[in-house]
Amino acid sequence: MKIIIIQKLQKFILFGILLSNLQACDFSLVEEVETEQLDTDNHKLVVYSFISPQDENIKVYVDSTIPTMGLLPNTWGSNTIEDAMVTLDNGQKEVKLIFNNPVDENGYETEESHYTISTDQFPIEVGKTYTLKVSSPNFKAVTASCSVPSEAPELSMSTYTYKDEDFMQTEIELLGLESSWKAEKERVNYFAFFINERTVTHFIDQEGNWQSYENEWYQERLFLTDEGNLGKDYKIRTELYRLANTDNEGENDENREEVILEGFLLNTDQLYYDYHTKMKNYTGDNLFTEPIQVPTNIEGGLGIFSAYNMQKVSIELD
Amino acid sequence: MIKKTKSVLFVLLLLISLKSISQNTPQRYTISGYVKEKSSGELLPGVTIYLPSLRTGTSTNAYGFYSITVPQDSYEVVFSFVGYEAVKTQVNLEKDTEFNLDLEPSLTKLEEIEVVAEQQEKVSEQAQMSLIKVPVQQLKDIPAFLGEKDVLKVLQLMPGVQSGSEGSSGLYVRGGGPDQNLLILDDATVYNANHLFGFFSVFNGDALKSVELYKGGFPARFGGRLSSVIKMDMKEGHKEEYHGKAAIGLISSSAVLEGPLKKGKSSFLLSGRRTYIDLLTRPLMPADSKGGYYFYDLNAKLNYELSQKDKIYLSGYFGRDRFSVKDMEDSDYKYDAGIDWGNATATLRWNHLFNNKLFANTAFIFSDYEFGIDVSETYQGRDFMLKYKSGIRDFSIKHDLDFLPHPKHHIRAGFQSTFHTFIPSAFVLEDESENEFTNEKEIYESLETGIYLEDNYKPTEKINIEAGLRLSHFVHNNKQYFKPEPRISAAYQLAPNLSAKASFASMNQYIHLLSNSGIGLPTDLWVSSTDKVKPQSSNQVALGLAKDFPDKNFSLTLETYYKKSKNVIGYKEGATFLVLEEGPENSEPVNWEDNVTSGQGTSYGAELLLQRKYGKFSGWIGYTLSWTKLQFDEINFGNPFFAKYDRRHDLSIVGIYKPKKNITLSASWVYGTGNNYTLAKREYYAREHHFQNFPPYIQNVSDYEEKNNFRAEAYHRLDVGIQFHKKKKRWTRTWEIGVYNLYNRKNPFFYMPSTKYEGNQERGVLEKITLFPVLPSFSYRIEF
Repeated sequence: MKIIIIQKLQKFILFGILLSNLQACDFSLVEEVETEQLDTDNHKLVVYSFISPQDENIKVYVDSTIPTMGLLPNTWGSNTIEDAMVTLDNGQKEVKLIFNNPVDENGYETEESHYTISTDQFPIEVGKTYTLKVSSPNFKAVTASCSVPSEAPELSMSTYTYKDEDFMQTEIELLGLESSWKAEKERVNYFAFFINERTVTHFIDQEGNWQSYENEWYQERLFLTDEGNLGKDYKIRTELYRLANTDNEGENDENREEVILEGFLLNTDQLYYDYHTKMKNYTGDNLFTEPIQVPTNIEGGLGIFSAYNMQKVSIELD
Repeated sequence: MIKKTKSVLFVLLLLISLKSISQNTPQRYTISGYVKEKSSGELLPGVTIYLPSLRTGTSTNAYGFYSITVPQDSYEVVFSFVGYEAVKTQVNLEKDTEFNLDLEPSLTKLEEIEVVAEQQEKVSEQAQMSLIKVPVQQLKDIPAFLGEKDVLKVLQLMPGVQSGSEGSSGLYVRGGGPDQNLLILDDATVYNANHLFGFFSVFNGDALKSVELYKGGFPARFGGRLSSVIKMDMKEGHKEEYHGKAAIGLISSSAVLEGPLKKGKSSFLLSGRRTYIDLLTRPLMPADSKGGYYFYDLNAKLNYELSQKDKIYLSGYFGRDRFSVKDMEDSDYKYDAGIDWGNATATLRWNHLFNNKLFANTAFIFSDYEFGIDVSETYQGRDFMLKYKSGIRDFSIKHDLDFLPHPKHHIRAGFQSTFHTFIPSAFVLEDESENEFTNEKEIYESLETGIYLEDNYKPTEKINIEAGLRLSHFVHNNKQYFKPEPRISAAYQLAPNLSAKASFASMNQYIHLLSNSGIGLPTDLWVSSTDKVKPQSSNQVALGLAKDFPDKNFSLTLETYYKKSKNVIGYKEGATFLVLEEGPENSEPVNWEDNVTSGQGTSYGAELLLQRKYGKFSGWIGYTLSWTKLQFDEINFGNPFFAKYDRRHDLSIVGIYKPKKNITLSASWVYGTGNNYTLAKREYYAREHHFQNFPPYIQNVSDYEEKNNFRAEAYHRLDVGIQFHKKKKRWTRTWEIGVYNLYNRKNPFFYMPSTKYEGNQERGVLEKITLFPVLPSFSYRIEF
């Protein structure tokens, strides 16, 4: 009796599900929709430039946006605009930047193409406001301004040691780098702090000649503000994962390595800070993640035009 | 200054109240008692007791008790309640009199309903505004998604209440989010009211006695949420004889059994529901791999009448959802994983009658919501075990006093104190192959307390005022918040059956729901206010007109509201709380406080409700015109934006027609402006600053221009249902056939950018994903 009831119940339910599914199969649940509301055909200029009194050249990168709807371009990478008119104005003088597409002897790009002018011709000075204007046929002209912040605080760097375990769980002593500076009390400060590790490795090639190669990478890349804690004393400890006590290598030792640590402390404006913190957390479109809106000060376009003032300290490890 | 003025007004009101009590009047006597349903003995809340000669009256409280004190005389007293035959009786009041009454449901003689003026509870006579009462019988008659009757989905059809995504049981009340609704079942808070990702709610209509939704003008006895209070009370169980119901539907079956434990003294009610897709599909799965999903609900209630003055109730709810996967590919490998979540609540209530004017309710309440993931794996004799849990657990004590000193006053006072334990994550990992063993548990504790005093004061025949003050207090670690919450509602009778109403309510919310999916996922997490995350608060003003058409059995309300909320929780850009996506085993601990930001919300609008609660043809038309804007300093560059569920127009038409005793026809049509989505307008390569010889960091970034920049197409849908009832020898059976989305409207569930190829050329498109096409459903029900 019990079995009959269960069988009847199963038939009843399966009939219902089957009917629902058959019905559902006749209709597509995914449909393309119109996107006029999004105005995706409206392309914009994308402009990037970070200026500083410490730079030798001013570089301005000019791209265009990529559509998300409709026919998509076949090319990958940035859509550099080569026919733009790019001018920079400091309130007293306006200069035109020249398009530069650096290539090597084989015709390969050595650097991304950009618009440039030497700071000898057009110096970047503390406290001054600079206005960037970019125009190009088929695009709405864009403009942006920024002011050059005051000098960055004095940066000190020194090494320290810390303990860790190696893969055999043996205690080892490693080397770290401590960087410190003090923020000014009078205003909210925005800093970018980078540590660049540069190694030059010397070795003897198969023919017995001394050769060398260089490697560079960021050990630290921080964007900081003292908002809410003005005049903060910053102390940043960076673990280098290098043994503290290595054998002193003579000049003729094979695989001899020279290690140079460079610290860059940038006094930036708020936009520089906001832009980079958003970019650092950028995760892309995801249904379960809140979309990130990257800030811009390019009126009529996208990108960033920002200024900074930089302190640099170098340490060579023994 | 405004706060001071409010306090002074409140004190004045109390003084006036006390003055009127102390006035010299002729000898007064009290008539009091309980009103019950005739056959079942179920106590009836909200029954109107009216004395036509004095043109005054009162109503039963939540526990069916009433009391009215009037001068010595002989009176005609009318007892009326929606869905019950009105009773008129003559009372010769020469001393304090206890008068208990049984009301008979008018369902039994549906066709012969004689509508009398007193039969309907009149909205024009109540000070309370923004209150919607849904007759439980109507819940059963309205067509439902896959035949599953759902309280929250019926509430979504009311003006001022909007649904979120397609199929979701989340409620958006006057611009507030689902986190801002206080759902209480027999005094216990239910934290996650969703089964199956929000497609069904946990409330089983068969076990419910009453459902009330407050959208504004909140009485001071309620607190803790900004936008709404949904108060549900479970049936107590038949005191005289055994009754039951059983239903078989497409995806679930349910049963209810109720009856006396000791005739006339105590009773019980048991109800359960379980889905069975997992059981039916199991035989079709391969032998070495099993999986499935189910949910179930259990409701139970016991009550015992110790004496005329003391009653005890014990009620509870327990529900669970579970997804599971089992894999046994070979003897070397076994895999067993599951996700489960659910609520458990328990309430012990004691009703005590101190005297014929003073009624007390004391309750001890437990509520628990838990979400868990468990994974166990055995490979070549080595075990891996992972357990993840999050949740919230409450222990509360509540005491309410109802004092009815005079027909002009109904004074309520009380307190509730809740000890919250939040577990944002508890994590156990045992990995023998990696020799890794972790046992971490994060716990937050806080104490939330509210005390209140309110008076429903009727100074003249035309004026009805309900004023109160709630003092709320919250402590978490060493951080304390103390907030006064003044509340006032007033009605002025412009003409017979027509009144103008106004209300003001100040609310605070000390606990927050982290859920950026907005579709009611089990991973949604309740968290405490801290020193960093401030309590949310709101002030709401509402104005309205209420008109009764007693001869036609209609009521019409028109309300406008303006609500300003502060410290509303939003999710910072890039924030995600979806544990399943990251995987608890590899995600770094997310400090939720760093992921949220607070801002302000503004919502305003107008609502119209034309309702016929009872009769051969019943139903309602509800229309809402509304705006909801949000502003967060850290979102959308600080600019205000329309909320995702900002809905300009929302229309519901619900009709239930009973042409014969054995047939019920029903239909509902809904229309709503589309939701807002944030979609990329274009993309670009964003560069970061770089030094030295490094190439620039370049990322492909989307340009949205502003948050919620895309308005989806309008949502509309028609559902229909037909029920055939037949009285058999021992029971009544009902066949129900329903069709959800009758004309197969392809309503958007979400939008997704995608690409397609046209030859060698790639084309970007926007795709609309629809969840439910036309879906028929069937169910079979018996009642005895």
